[in-house]
This record gives sequence, C-alpha cells and structure tokens, in this order.
Amino acid sequence: MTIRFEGIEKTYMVYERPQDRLWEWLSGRQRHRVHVALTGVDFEVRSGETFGLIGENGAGKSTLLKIAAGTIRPTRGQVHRQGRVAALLELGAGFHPEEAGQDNIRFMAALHGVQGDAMDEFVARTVEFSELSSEALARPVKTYSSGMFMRLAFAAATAIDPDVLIVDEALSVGDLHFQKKSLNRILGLRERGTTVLFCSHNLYQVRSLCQRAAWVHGGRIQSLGATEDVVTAYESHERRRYAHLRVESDTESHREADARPTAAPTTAALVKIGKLTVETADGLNPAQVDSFQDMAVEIEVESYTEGAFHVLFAIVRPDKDNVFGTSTQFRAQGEPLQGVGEHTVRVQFSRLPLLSGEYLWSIYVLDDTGIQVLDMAELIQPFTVLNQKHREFGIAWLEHEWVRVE
Amino acid sequence: MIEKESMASHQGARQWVVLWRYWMVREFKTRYAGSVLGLAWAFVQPVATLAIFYVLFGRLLAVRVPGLETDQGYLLHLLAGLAVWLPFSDAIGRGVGSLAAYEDFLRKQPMPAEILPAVSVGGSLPVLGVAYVLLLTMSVAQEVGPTAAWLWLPLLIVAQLILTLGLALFLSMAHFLWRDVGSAVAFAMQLWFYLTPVVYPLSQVPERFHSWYLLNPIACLAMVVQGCALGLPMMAGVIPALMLWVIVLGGGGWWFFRSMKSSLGEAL
Repeated sequence: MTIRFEGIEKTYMVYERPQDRLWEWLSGRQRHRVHVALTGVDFEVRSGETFGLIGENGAGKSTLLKIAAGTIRPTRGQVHRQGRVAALLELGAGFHPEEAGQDNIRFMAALHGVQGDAMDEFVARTVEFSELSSEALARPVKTYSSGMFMRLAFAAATAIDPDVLIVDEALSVGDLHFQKKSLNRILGLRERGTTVLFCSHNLYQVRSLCQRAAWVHGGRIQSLGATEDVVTAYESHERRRYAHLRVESDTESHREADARPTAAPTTAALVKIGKLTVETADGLNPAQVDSFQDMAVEIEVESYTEGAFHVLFAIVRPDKDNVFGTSTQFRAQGEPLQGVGEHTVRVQFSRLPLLSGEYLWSIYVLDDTGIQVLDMAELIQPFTVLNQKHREFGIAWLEHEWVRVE
Repeated sequence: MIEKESMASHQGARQWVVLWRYWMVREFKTRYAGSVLGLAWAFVQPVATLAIFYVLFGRLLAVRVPGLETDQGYLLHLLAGLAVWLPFSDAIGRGVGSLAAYEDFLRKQPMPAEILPAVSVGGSLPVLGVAYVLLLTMSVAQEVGPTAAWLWLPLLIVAQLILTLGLALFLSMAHFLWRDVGSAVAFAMQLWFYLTPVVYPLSQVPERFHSWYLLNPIACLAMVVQGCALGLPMMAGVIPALMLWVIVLGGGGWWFFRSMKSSLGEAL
C-alpha cells in the first residue's frame, strides 16, 4: 500500500531530428541532448497517507506521477509499489468512442487485470457511481455529452478500489456536482486507508488534504515533510519570485515617471488563509442553515510579513455566481490589516436573507491595493440554506410590501 | 522468492491474455461499427481478392501450375498463397500504425504495449481462418487431399503467426520512432506481394532466380504451405530457411521492441 522511490532519476534523450535517433542506433555514437527531468528523488509515500506534490509548471511533478503510475520507467533508481494502483492521469484515455459505455467499462476492468466475478462487481460499482441510465450505457461513448463521459471515465478509473491512488490535477474538470462527487470519492477512499499521491496547484487543497507534501523544484525535491512546512516554504519562494518581479517593475516605473509622486515601495505581503468558521445558534459549521437565522463568519489568516493586506470573501452559488461579497477594504475606513502573525476577521449576518439552496464560500487575500491576489480558496465549505417559514422563492429575500391599488 | 516471482509472472501472463482478449473483442466490434455488412466484410474481402486474381491470372492469362493435375490447379495454388499472404498483409497493414495511434494512451495508462501489435495479428485470424477453410474444402473437392502432410499445417500457421508478430512488433515500433516507416511499408507491401509466388507458381520463374526466393520469408512460408497442402514439390532448403526466418524475425522483432520500449511513454 506504499510507493517507495529509490534514487529516481529520469533523463530524456532529445533528438533534434528524427533521423538522429536512427544514426545513433546504427552507429552507436551519441547524437542526442540529455534533458534531466528528475534527479535524486528518494522518498516513500507511507501506507494510508495522503501525499501532495507541489511546484511550478515544468518542475517535474507530472514526470514523477507518471513514474509512480508506471507509464514511464526511471532512467536510474527504482519504484516499489505495493497493492493495486489506480492512476488518474487523464480521464477516459482508454475509452473507444465507437464502443458502448458498458463495453468500455469492461475494457477498463480488463486493463486493470480484473476478471470474473470481480469484473461484475467492477461494472456494478462503475455504473452506480456514473449515474448513467442503462439506455445511455448501451450507446456508443461518442454520443455522450462531455459531462457524461467524464462521469463514466472517473467512475471506471476508481472502481478497482485501489490501494494506491495517483491523481493529477488535470482532474479538476466537469461541473461542480461532478467535481464534488469525485472529490468525495477520493476522500472516501482515503478514509478507507487508500494511499493517495496527488499533485495540485491549489495550495488550499493540498493543505486541507495532505499529511505530508513534497515541493519539486527544477527536477529535485526541494523540500519534503509536513504539509504546512513544505507549502509555506513554497509560498515564500513564490512570494520572493513575485517580489523580485515587482521590484523590477517598480524601478522601471520610477524611471518612467520621475516627476510623479510615487507611493513608498511596499514590501510584498505573504499571507495565507487558515480557516473559515461559520457559527449559528446550532453550533460551529452547521451543514444546514435556516433562512433568517443569525450567522457569523470567522476567517483566520496568517501573515508572514509586515505587508498590508485585505481579506475579501463571498457567498457563491454552485454555478459560481456571487451572491454577496465584501472585503475589509469596503469597510468604513478601509484600513488594511497588517502585522506578522494571526489575524481573525469576523462578520455578523443578522437574519441571513438567503433562501433555500446550496451555497459555498470563496475567500481571497489581496494586497493593499486590493488587486493582487495573495492567496485564495474558492468554492469551499458548501452549506445548505433551508427556507422553512416562508413561501417566497429565489436566492435571496428582498424586502417588499404588497401595496393595495384602487 | 523465486516461487513468488514465477507466480507474479504467471499472473502477469494471465492478465496479458485477458487484456488481449478484451482488446480483440473491441477491435472486432469497432472495426466494422457503423457499416451495414459488419463482420461479413471479414469474409467478403478475401473472397473478392481471390475472385479478382482467379479471373485475371487463372482465366484471362491462363497461368497453369505444373505438378498439380486437376481442373482447378491454379485456383488451389492461388488459395494456398493467399492463405499466407492475406492474413500477413492484413496484420502488418494494421500493425504498423498500432503504437502511433495509441501514443497518448500509452503515456497515460500503464499497460504492456506489446498488446497493440499482437491485437493486429489477432485481428487477421478471421481472414486466415476463412482462407484455410476455403483451401481445404476446395482441395478435398478437387481430390488433392486430405494427405498426411496436412498435419503440418497447424505448425505452419503457428510459424506464420510468430513471423508476423515479430515483424509487426518491429514495424510498429519503427513507425512510432520514424513516421516514414508507415508510408514505406504501404508501398513495400505491394512490391512484396509480387515477389512472393502467390499469383504465379515458382516454376514460371527462371531457375536461376529460385534461390533468391529464400531471402523472402513470406515466399518461404507460402511455398511450404503450397507444398504441404497441395503436395507440390518443394524447393531444396526452403524448410530450414523458413525456420531461420521465424527465429530471426520473431526474436529480432521482440528484441528491437524491448530495446526501444522505453521511448514509448515519453516521446517529447
């Protein structure tokens, strides 16, 4: 149930022209450039652990995932995998458009070496998760909508009940319902003790899911350990990179506009979102809130520099329409928050005027101008609002009065 | 430890076969998807090819096969040749592009890539079956067989499959690395057909060229099948040549495929 990387190195042979490979093969003289994609990777994803990979684009995360999944072999070193491995590198890659959904499921089962009774089980699980009708399953996959296709592909990919799950971030596709469902599936597997290795750019996700993480930088493991430490190190690296760019552009603008009074150069702030807590009379983070109930929201953030920043949050509908958003910048004085350490902001909604529906939160930490996003967590912590007392419908309660007309 | 390893490889082989079977099913189901005749095409194609060559060479050009003294000697000779050639060209034609077509898939899904060329070879089995059934029933009808030599035919079919698979492995990988291969093969197959004694018997070729035919593995195979099925005299040295070809192409194709396999998942 583990994946162990032992001294992994992956180099690609890059041929300028296709015939170079032929000449090299025939003559034995090297005619390629060596591109080192990964080197010195040496760690173990422990059994039952959720392990995150973070890093910039092109740092080698995907290569590492592919090596873990076994689609490519390391040039040096070894990978030891225990247990059944499912790799969600690209959904539906093995599907044949002309073949019926059912047959594609069976094919995926065979691809995982499942047969006999286990295959029937595999098919049953896939069908159940995909929520596709038997009529749809009998049709060729090419007639499916992209949403149906994704559902089936995800269902088939995770139906083997893997001991080890490898997930690429390319997964964040499909509609919100599907995203949530697939995330729940991954969480469910994780709860049952499945080892999960995944890579993501969404640091909020990494933070909330992973026990440990590794930061891949330039083909090496830059840092590996508890998620918090690794993600923070990565963030400050990103921040430095950004600050560097900003200083450069600042000096540039100084030169351009000497006469114009410019603001004192600000130090780039590094702030990360901690958590969001909803409080009602029913307790902390209730799954359900009644319309016209009093509700308080508390957002914790931590700042690592003296830089000033604002916290913005919004209540969002699943289709990403904002219902209501506000920011520390919109307050009466609009003073930004500042100072190293934890900051908590609290907003009180008395008699929450939302009507029945699914809502989520989006939080952004912005710099003192309110433009640059320092950290964000979008569409998190869904909650349901139930309007039990009134018959009016819609998203929000609008104050109104029925007026008598003669 | 050793036991565990052999268990694992046994398991691996079984998985390989299961996957191959499913891939074959998919191949047959999707090959004729959306066509009216469907699977019937697997029968129409060889029969139509046979009819064309028979009318053209057997009737119009009136080619005769010395040593085969029946009314339809040419037809039998042609059938024996096509029983070798048609499945071979079918498998190679599909096999060459098999890896390139699944390039993206191979990068995303861990699987034994050998399956793809093997499926192409498996896909030629219906044609092979149809051709052999025709050959044997015609032979019986023409009172050429059955003979004891027919017992060799299963072995020859195995030889053909090994030979074809070896070449399919080689060509599919070569095409994956160098896309010129596909275009070259399409042309080479046409030439190869006429360099193989299928539409003409070897006896029509001047004697001094005969030994050249040993350099053509499919010609060797066709001649041995014609010899076994129809009792035609076989050229000296053709059986050892065929055995050598099976080993060279089967083993060589396998070796080339294995040595280049690492480039499959990672073409940059």
